[in-house]
Amino acid sequence: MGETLMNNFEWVKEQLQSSEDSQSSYLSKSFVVSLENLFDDIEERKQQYEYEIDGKLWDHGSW
Amino acid sequence: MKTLIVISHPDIENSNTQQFLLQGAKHQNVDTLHLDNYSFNSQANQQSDLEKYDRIIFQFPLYWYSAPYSLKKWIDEVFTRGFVYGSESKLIGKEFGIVVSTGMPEKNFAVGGGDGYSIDQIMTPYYALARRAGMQILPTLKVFQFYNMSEREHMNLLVDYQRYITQKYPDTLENKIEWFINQFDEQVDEFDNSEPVKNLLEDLGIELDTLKLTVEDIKNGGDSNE
Repeated sequence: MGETLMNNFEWVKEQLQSSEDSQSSYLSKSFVVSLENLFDDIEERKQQYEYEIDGKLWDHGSW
Repeated sequence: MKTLIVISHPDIENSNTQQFLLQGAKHQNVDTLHLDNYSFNSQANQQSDLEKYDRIIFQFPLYWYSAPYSLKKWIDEVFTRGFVYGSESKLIGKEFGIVVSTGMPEKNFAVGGGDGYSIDQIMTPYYALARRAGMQILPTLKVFQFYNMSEREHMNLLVDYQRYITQKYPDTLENKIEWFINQFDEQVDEFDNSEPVKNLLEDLGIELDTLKLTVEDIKNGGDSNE
């Protein structure tokens, strides 16, 4: 993840870990775990699009 | 979107899986109907209630390759001529989903597995019912060996379940992003000062849309260097 993305994400995790309500913090922590997966998926998709736009697949005639 | 989760379980209080899922559903704007604790008042009332929902989900543990008997009984009493067949189905266009849990491992339901059939094959009667009713069938959410899962797997399951019952179909990355953004708004008390992350998510969603349009333009014969 990029630096800005990581900083924001770590900040949210810190906010959620400070929650005192055990039930709501479990739901919130679950949300954060899934959010982390989502950011990974977004990054992977971005790289895929950027790779295609750079023309590497086109140059090799893979289409 | 309004979602109804129809739950069939004869001992729901002692089911860790169902109690876990119910906690997830509690924090989403959905309705649940537990058939085993439900007094069937009238067929007409039950049918008119179903018409109010956009998404109807059957949720149950796998008992001998089917649902517990309360679901079969309810289906027989509610999905009748005049409601789903014989005239235009009242459920046309609504979404139909299944959340099924089993204590068996996933590999048992793979090709060559011990149970001989996949979960999707076993769910065929329900798919046929939904198809007959003119419903849009969603992929089934399968929960294998809940008690064997790690804490992280439980956490992922919880959110996957919440998305399954309330996220727009299909399960694209774009719809997933939109769902997470909406969750920030709806769980504002849980996520104090999370505005920067929500804004970043929105910006990333827009960035992906732009990249996608560029790729489509290239495929349609446009020049990305113009």
